Amino acid sequence: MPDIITELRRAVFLLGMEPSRIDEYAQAITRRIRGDYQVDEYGFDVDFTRHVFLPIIGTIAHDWFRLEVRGAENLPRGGGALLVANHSGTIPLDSLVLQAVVHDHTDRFLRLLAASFLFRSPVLSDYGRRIGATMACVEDAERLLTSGELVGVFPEGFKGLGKPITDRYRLQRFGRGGFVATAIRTQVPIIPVSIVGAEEAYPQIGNLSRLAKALDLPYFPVTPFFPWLGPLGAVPLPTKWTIDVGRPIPTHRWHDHCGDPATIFSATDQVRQHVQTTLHSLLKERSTPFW
Amino acid sequence: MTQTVLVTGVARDLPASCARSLAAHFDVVGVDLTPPRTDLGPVRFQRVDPRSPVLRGVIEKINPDIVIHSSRGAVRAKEPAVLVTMHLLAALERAAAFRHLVLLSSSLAYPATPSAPACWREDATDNLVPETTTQRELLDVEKYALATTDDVAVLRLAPLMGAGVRSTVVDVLAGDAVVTSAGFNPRLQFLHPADAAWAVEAAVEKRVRGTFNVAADDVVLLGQALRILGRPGVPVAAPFIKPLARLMNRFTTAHLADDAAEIAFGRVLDTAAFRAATGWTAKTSTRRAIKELAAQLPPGPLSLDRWDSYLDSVFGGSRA
Repeated sequence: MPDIITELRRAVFLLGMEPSRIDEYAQAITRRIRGDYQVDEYGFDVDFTRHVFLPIIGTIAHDWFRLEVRGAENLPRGGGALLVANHSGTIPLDSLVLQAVVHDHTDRFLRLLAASFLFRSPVLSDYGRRIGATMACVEDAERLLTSGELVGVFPEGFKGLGKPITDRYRLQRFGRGGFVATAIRTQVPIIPVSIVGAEEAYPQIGNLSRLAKALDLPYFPVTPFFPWLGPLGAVPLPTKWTIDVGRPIPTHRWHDHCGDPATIFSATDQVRQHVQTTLHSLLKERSTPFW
Repeated sequence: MTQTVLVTGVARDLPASCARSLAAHFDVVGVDLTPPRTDLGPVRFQRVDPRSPVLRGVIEKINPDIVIHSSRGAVRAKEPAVLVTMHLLAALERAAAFRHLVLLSSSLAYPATPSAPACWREDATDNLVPETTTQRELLDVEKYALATTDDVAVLRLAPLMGAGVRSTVVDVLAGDAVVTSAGFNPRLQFLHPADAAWAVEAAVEKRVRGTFNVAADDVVLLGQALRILGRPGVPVAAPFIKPLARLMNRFTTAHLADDAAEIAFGRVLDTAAFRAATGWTAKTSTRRAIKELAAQLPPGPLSLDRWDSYLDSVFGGSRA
């Protein structure tokens, strides 16, 4: 039907896209409809992540949060590494933005480790796996790192994500150091990442813990706009974000002591200290959260 | 002298095809309670009730070197699988030539839960409390076999998929519409029957010991599988899946999966250990196996051909 093709070309042109790319779009759509795309054993859908997810999150990061990245040269171009970052902002936008940062600078995909809550939740579990996230457990982390992937972990977990705004940029407990032990065992460097700006995007002023319990959620956030404004309240504030990628911390010097809890604790503490110090110095530089 | 292989449960398709392919190198005897549905070729069939005392005499007479025992065959005989295995292993004590047991287990030995690791490794079940009856039964049989004989290879096989496969999974996917758990898109990993038979051969040939996962390398999402099969998915909220499936299975000819966890969370197996031990690799991918089933089934309501003509009408000749 040539008429439809003409109309489609016109629509593509009006949308500011290259009309000659219509074949490409048509093929991409057909591939999706046919189910003719690959996912890896974790359910990671490269096609979707590269062409749908990363462009959207990249636009949000650059135009809404005016993201500034420091130390991007510390991101390895090859081989496995464990990125350890602070977690904040009520909903884990920071992990998604970090994923976009890694892809922008290295063309690699950051494989996020997520709480089991994600995989229990309908829709979220599907899209979580599609963008490369997997269960935060030793098995998956080890498997990914051994196969030379970049793995992202937020050891504060929900404690960091769901903390009130009054605790902003105060690092919570860094788990039991399992992530450090895994990095040591798989002999990959740890890259500390400090994220500033995510805290104020959703300033959490309250937590309806009873409602959260009833809904089987880790917490139910109250911000100045949510739930009062409904879905509109879920729009993040346009804070200015800075992501600092620290120098890789080699783990081989701990390798002989990887079974020793004291070594693991001190290594964990070193990573935590690095992130906390960087957060403080980044905070000193900025005058307001918004510019 | 050719060695003798005893294959239990040959009334079912997988043990039957294992028996057939092993018959090229061994003297193969197949046993089961009911006669096989397919032609076993050079395989000798012997009817035997695994619960009867006759079993001991029969096995003593066959005196097998190698035994292929499928733990799931017994489930259909309405006898606890572990009891059948106990009878068999007790009888094998008397078989002088016996030296290697290959136990066909299933990926159902792993639970389907959201907090599961993405890929199951064999040692994951060591500290696992079984959640379902099937899982407990499979693990019981495995543990009993491993504890009784030294020379045992436990093969945890992914669900079979391909043309001619008869299974619950196939029945469910072959329906006009497939009930899915709303918002969940599990990863599926299958095993082609030919690859399964080859895996058993490889285990026998290399005389491997221990527990091994056997599955195709790749993973296909349920959503993708439905697109390949041309079946529409009907998302149903998790709590309503079981009641709906019970109603439909009772009052219609439809086959619906009734376990909400099963259809929400898949299982993916890490097959590195088996590949390293035997050099086996799956020749047919999960995707290929699903396509094989699709080719055998009548085209579904949303079959690719219909999509093709639809897309052709929308995009004209612009598609490659």
